[in-house]
Amino acid sequence: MRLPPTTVTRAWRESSNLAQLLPEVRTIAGARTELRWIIEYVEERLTDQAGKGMKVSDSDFQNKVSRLCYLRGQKGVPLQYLLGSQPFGDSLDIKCRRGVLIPRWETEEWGIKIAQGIRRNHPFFAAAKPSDVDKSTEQADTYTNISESESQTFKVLDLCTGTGCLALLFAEQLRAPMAKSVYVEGVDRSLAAIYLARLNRATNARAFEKYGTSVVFTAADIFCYDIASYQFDIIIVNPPYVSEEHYYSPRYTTRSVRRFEPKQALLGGLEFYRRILQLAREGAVPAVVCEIADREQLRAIVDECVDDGWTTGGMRDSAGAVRTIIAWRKEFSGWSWMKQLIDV
Amino acid sequence: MSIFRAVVRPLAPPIRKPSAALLFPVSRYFSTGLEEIEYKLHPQLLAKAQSLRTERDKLSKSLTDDGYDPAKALERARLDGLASNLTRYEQFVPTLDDLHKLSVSEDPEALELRVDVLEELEDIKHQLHELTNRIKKALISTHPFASYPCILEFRPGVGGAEAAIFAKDLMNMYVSYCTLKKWRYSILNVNEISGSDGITEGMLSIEESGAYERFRFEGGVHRVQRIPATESKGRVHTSAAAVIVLPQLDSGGEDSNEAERSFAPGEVRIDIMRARGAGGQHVNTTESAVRLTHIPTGITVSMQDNRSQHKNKAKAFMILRARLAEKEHAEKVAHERQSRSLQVTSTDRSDKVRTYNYSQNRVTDHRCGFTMYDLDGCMDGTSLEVLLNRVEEWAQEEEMKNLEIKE
Repeated sequence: MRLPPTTVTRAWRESSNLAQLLPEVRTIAGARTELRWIIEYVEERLTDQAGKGMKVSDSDFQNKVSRLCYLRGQKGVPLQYLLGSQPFGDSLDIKCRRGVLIPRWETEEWGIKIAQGIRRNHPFFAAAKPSDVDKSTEQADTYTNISESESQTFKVLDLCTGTGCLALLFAEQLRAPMAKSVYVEGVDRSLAAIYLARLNRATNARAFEKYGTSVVFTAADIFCYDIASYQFDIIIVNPPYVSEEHYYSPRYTTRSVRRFEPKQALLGGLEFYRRILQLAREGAVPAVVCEIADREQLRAIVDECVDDGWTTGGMRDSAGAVRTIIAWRKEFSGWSWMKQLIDV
Repeated sequence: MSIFRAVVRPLAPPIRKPSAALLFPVSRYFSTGLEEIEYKLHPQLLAKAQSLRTERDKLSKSLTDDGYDPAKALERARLDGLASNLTRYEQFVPTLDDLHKLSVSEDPEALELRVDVLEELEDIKHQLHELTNRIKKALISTHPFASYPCILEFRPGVGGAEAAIFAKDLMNMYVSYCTLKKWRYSILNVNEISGSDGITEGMLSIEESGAYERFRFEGGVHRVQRIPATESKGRVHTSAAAVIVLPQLDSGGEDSNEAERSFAPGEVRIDIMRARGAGGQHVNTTESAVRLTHIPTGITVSMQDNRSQHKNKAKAFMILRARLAEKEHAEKVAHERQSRSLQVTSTDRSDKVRTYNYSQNRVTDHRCGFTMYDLDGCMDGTSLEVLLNRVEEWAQEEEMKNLEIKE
């Protein structure tokens, strides 16, 4: 839809930067907020530079701001690429770079819901009874033995991890109780993504290190990935799920996404879900949570990819769209609470 | 008091009953310090204090009998001071009565001792006065949120752009006060007017326990009289900005879902800005605004400050909880006030609480009538402390007065 001329004039009257942002942001209120974030970012960068002894003038500031506004509004570059990061979860700051998908708020939302659910309901995270603690302190030898055994580590597998946002989110949210630990593995085919994910792990280590959580990023194609030797407790995935038809239709996919974000992180379909569930079967993983495009995709996955033994359901995001499929296996204990998250 | 004492001491033992009023006619216009009412507690207050002491005794009995309970122990510790003061008070009262009798008796033996008696009487009265004050202070119920951190909200009132600028000045004033005190604070939300220095809304969170108690009486309309930056003809304008003080019930730290979990599912409607297209991977929106509507009360909170929707939601829930708690408390207080037969002055809400007059370099608090000619010091936070102390003193006095006419 064309921008109303009155909106454009109003924006120009306020500031030229605001008007620059309008074509992509569409509303004056939205443009104002983005302009504020851009100004904050430039201010921070320039104070950093000034702190390092570089000369910073006022025109530097003006030039940088208007350059960013031009790129954002006229070229449609995603703000997350321009500012280089996106806040995620409680305290994470996820770096974003061209060639790796930008973390979405929907992913953040369901990730937090699932992680909080696990922390509150899964027996692994139940507070250790005082008697257990006593034993472990008295018998130091058995204590080390226990922590080495399988049941003392909660293992999360994040496939198609991209920036590593989901893996790091789970590392941040799942805090292992005493004498236990959490292990998160992130897998992606793209080397650029794996490098970025490792960078993100390094910058955000503060959020999970103190709980003894370890995060590992591996470069691997999920179609060749071998899961058999690991005992994962849950697989979380944000696979490429945009269909070819939706990708090229401006009704579904915005121009900025098509132009600037990697196609291989977006275009995909049922083959991913089939492979994920196959991996879960091979590795005897009790629970799987995947992001999906819409209700139709949920139906297709349930019809074609899910076999007996799984209980499945969909969960909506706050915008009301069906955004995740949740599946767990009945024969494993500790996962039946997931049915309270299901609303489709 | 002290005047009276200084006068009495050099006098030889008077033959007749000494009358201060006779010796110094001027004291008719002042308190002679002889009225007993000043030193003794009002019977109702005494009864209340005594009932609190029995409650304390019961508590300590149950603590020894039924085992230790931290909540009970805390409650007992709170009442301990009151109880010991009350016991001392009760010891002093008979002595006071005896001495008083002695001082007025015409018995020759007593007459000999009169100077000593009067001196001791003065001493005891002095101590009693202090004790009654302490007991009264203990009887003033502490505000339930007194120990909490707080959220300050700033909104411009009448006066257009100038009011918006003043709202920002006010916010800066509290920010610099917190910096001086080395209190942790964070700016939750600011809606700036682009192209000017004003704000349409500002929220400041002060994460210092007890900050609510300190800023409790800052809530209300703050008036400013100055020549605005927007004025071309040099006229003095009067505009106003409102400050709202809320208790911050959540830590806002480690667990961001703490506030959200305190609401029943379905109690709060969460609205987000709907992105164009299909959402998810199809769109990389930066829209992170969140609006909460508390359905039972209709209170709404919008937040769009942060780039993360999750953080905006957590903050919005925190503010919603604070507003609800404040509302609940205000309703309770209003209800209590209504149930009392006597008119009690309110310390919580006044319309115009303070005036900042730039041309006279003056700050006046309208409630305690305190005027300070140090506007710059006030606005940069250095002498705000003085003002806050005066307001607090005034509030305490008001509470004490209320205590006496309460029942």
